[in-house]
Amino acid sequence: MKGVVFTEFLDLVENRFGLETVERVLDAGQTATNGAYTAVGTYDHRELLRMVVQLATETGLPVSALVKAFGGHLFDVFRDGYPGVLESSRSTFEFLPSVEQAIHVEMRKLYPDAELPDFEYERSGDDSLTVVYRSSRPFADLAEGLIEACIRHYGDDLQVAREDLPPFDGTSARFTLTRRR
Amino acid sequence: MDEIELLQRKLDRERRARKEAESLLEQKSRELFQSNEQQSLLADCLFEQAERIQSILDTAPEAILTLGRDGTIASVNPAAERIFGRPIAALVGSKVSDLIPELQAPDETQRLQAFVAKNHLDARESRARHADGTEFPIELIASELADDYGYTWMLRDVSRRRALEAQLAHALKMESVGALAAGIAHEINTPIQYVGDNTRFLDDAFGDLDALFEAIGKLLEESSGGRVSDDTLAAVRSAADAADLDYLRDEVPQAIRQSLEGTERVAKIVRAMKEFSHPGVEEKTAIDLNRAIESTVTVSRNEWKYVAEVATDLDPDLPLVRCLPGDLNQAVLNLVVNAAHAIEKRREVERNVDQLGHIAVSTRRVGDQVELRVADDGTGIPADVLPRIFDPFFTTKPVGKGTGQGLAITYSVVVEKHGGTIDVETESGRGTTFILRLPL
Repeated sequence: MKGVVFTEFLDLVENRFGLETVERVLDAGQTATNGAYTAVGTYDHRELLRMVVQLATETGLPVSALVKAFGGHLFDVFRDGYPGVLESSRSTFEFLPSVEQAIHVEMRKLYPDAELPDFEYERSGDDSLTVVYRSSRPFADLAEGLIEACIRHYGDDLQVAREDLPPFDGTSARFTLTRRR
Repeated sequence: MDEIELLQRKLDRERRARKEAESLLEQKSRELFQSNEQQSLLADCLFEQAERIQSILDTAPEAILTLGRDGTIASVNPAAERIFGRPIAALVGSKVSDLIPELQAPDETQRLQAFVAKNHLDARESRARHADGTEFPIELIASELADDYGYTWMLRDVSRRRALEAQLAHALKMESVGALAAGIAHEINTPIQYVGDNTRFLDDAFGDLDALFEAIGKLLEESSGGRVSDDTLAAVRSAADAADLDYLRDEVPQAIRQSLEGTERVAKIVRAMKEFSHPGVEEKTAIDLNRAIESTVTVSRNEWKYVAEVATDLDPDLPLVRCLPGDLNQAVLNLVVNAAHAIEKRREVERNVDQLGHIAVSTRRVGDQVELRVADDGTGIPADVLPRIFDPFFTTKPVGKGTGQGLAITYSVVVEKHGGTIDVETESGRGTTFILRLPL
């Protein structure tokens, strides 16, 4: 998993819960670099999972809620870092289907070894979009957080229904985005 | 843990992260350098390959064209410029149908597709148009480009080859005429000899009759005066006795009949030879196939008469056949001569020279085709040889007896020039039948 996810996670923990929590989270993460992550490096995603579990213990919040919130944070980071990408679309329905072509293609140019999740899209009329997420890592919650932050960014009035898919371990999920009447 | 210590730890992490980032940057820089090196090598390699391919295209004797699916020429090599007599700039962007009249039709796209070779050895023959308006024969191989772009054509001008082939065909014909000449001379010599003998006999007989005619003249002269002397009558009787009139009355008509037969025989041979040669006929002509076969059998008589009898069974209702007469005669001659050779070989093998073999030549109509069979009771063709009998220069005959061209020519004439078929039925030791079918 790309280092930017780790550095942003630790920034979020530090900003929200302070440096002491960061230290405990890092201790629990049993990280190979002792927490010395760099955004352009690549690290084992299980370190992140262990850190999230520790954060859940520290805060008493559910893991899924924390990961979802982290997804929202990540979206804001991308929005501030690459504003042009979001500006080229006018709505969630327009932006999400461009992720594979616009973002993943660019990611592969910078990081040829990056293991990116797959997204499939299906439009059912003007008011509904289905996004199927598939990854080798269990970050459907992260994807949900990203999607919800995206909807907020464009100011769309959409309802998101999530359906976990086999093997029901967070690696696959279907998100149905429906426009509210 | 106090705040200083926490900050110290964070600083420590940031330092290590920076070092790792710098290390990653160095690694990426190195990879980028190596990648550039490889790209540079690859570019050199591609450039070299492009130069080599360009050199091949520039020096290829064949015209190489790439075409779009609609027949628009996308690229040509210098050979195309030479072959078509048009500058490259004029060729590129023009329609290939401007060069190949056969393609000038509403269904040009389908015709283009039909030009594509089923394999890379299938060359197609057509005619092309030079810038000066003259047409010339070409041979081309068309293949489909892999990216669905269109076609690649490799095309060569075969004018010179066609001319050489025509010369070769003429030479081969002359060769067979030459080979037949000795036999024909022999065939003519026999009737000429007995025409000569009979004429000499008639000359002698006329000499014998001269004294009788003189005595009869004197008799007629005296009889007009009303008185014929006994001496005159005696002279007539004596001359008649000397001339042996009974003998002459028997022999002279026979001699005249034999002489007429002889001259007719010679005339037939000369006529057959003329018909066999068919000089100058290059277009297909409707001919009486039966008559052509009879001529061929006649001119080749010396080739088979010592080893076989030839029986013909020719369908009298056979329609006229459109063909190249000279070529078809040549094809039939080759089969008859081969049949005679096969019988001769069998007679040698079986040491049976007393009994003649049999060659049967027959024709009949089968639907919209004419079938011509040449059957012999010679050696037959061994199974291992059969697949190669129509190959040029393939022969099982001893050196000097066969060039291996006979059946190759027959195949070319029947199949390629007339769109017919050739089938062979053979049994080793029993004989062979060649079955030719020509479209009507």
